[in-house]
Amino acid sequence: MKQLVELKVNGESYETAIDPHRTLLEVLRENIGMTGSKEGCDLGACGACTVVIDGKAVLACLTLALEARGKEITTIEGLAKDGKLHPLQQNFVDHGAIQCGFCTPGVIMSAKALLDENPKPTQVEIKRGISGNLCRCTGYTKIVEAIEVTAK
Amino acid sequence: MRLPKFEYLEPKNVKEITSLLKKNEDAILIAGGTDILPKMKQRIVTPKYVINITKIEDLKKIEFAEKKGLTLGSLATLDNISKSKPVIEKFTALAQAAGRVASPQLRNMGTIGGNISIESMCMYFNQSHEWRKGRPHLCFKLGGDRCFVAKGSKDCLALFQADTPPALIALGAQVTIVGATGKEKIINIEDFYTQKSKKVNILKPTDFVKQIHIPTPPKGTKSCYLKMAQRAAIDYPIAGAAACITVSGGKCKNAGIAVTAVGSGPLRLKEAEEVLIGNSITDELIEKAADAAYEKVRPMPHFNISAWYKRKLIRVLVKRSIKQACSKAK
Ligand SMILES: Cc1cc2nc3c(=O)[nH]c(=O)nc-3n(C[C@H](O)[C@H](O)[C@H](O)COP(=O)(O)OP(=O)(O)OC[C@H]3O[C@@H](n4cnc5c(N)ncnc54)[C@H](O)[C@@H]3O)c2cc1C
Ligand code: SF4
Ligand code: FES
Ligand code: FES
Repeated sequence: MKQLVELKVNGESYETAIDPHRTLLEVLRENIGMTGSKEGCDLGACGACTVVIDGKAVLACLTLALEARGKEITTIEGLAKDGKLHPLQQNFVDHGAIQCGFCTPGVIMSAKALLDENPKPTQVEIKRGISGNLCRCTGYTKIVEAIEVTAK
Repeated sequence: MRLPKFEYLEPKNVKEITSLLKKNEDAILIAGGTDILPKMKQRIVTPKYVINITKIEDLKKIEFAEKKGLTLGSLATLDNISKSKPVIEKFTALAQAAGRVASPQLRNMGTIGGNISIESMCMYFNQSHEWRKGRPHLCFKLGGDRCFVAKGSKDCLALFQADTPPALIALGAQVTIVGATGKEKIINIEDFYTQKSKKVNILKPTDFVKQIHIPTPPKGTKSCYLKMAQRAAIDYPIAGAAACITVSGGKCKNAGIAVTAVGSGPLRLKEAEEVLIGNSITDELIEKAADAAYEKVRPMPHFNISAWYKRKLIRVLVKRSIKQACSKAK
């Protein structure tokens, strides 16, 4: 049976009626219309769906939307402010860290959670921080550079 | 892949978990959901009720006191465990094992209760419904009459590969299980496992894991967990080994050695422990303990990893984990 739920995404409240078996990723993309978070494997192995919930990077494809009630959800759509890109986004653009762009929202959300917890990470810590995100264009060097520059 | 439909229940305390499990047949518990939701997407399990226990704050605690030891609520996340100061200092193998599970996101979500309770895996079983439907027969794990991995085998041989159980065994952990009557039962973590691939743990449908407890190790104790996987992140172990060594007066007073990803459950290697206990630990003795480990394990091939390779790897990992533990235990 459908239930009315309220989700707090990027500081705003969204009300939508959903069945319990819907994942947060499906509800973000299909009900709320935020298609920034991507569906890659849908089984927890690629990180394309990474969002930040209560400060931690998690996988939206393995989170039930009902579970996310009452929590602060941040998606890639929540990073730019007043038409200005977030420093991570800007540095990804400037350093060529985006090729096809499919993994980018997930990688940036992992990087954001990392930098919020550890503002001056070492290169090894950055690599570990984004180790749950696959980039099939394999542009890891530039991704790590863009995150390093943001941390400086 | 969409999840199958189910009814969603959210208990507010431990008592409610038991009453919901008793009331609703065909229910499963979901903690981090990182193991069970992929399996539901693949239609390996299609429960009528899903009981999400993550709203019970009491079960998320990590508590340590010198006298009482370490108590981990079943919902403590692997990330929090791997970064907890007392765990890193006194229960190093556990911090290392929790910190090597999957990826940062999965460790933020995954819980210790879920990690010890995951099922065995197999390339013929952990596949989509469509994939499995392509085979005309069912294997043992799905109630069929054969095993595709080893023709002629009378039992399922699927592989258990959770990372934390060998560390917990080496450290002498105990598991508190709450049963249908609400009564608590405390067992050694070793006895939590059946060593049968078809159902790897002893949990009944109305049971759940409340907490895990590890006594404070005596002075001179150090531990270590080492994992080998194809990639440094995301992958399950090809093999993993934990060693916990207590040294006093130059001699090994106590040793706990256990491995994962070699069979139907995490395996304690008493034979290797016995080589060490009572003796002063030399490189030669460590080689002997590693030989004992090699003799004991009988792995099966898994995906593209041969049984031969895995067995050799166990020898190496057991040797290195003892060495690393001993290099600090003085
Ligand atoms: C891509 C990927 C890679 C992975 N890599 C690894 C790895 O390298 N190493 C590893 O060990 N694991 C790995 N896992 C498996 C999983 O993420 C972890 O084992 C995790 O710790 C499971 O915990 P959870 O809380 O998410 O479990 P859940 O999925 O919530 O539950 C797992 C099982 O335990 C039961 N359960 C959960 N809590 C309790 C409880 N309190 N009492 C009784 N039963 C309970 C559930 O009913 C379910 O059957 C991986 C998973 C994925 C998707
Ligand atoms: S080991 Fe054999 S019985 Fe078990 S899941 Fe694999 S194919 Fe099935
Ligand atoms: S889509 Fe969620 S991890 Fe791949
Ligand atoms: S930029 Fe194409 S997958 Fe990473």
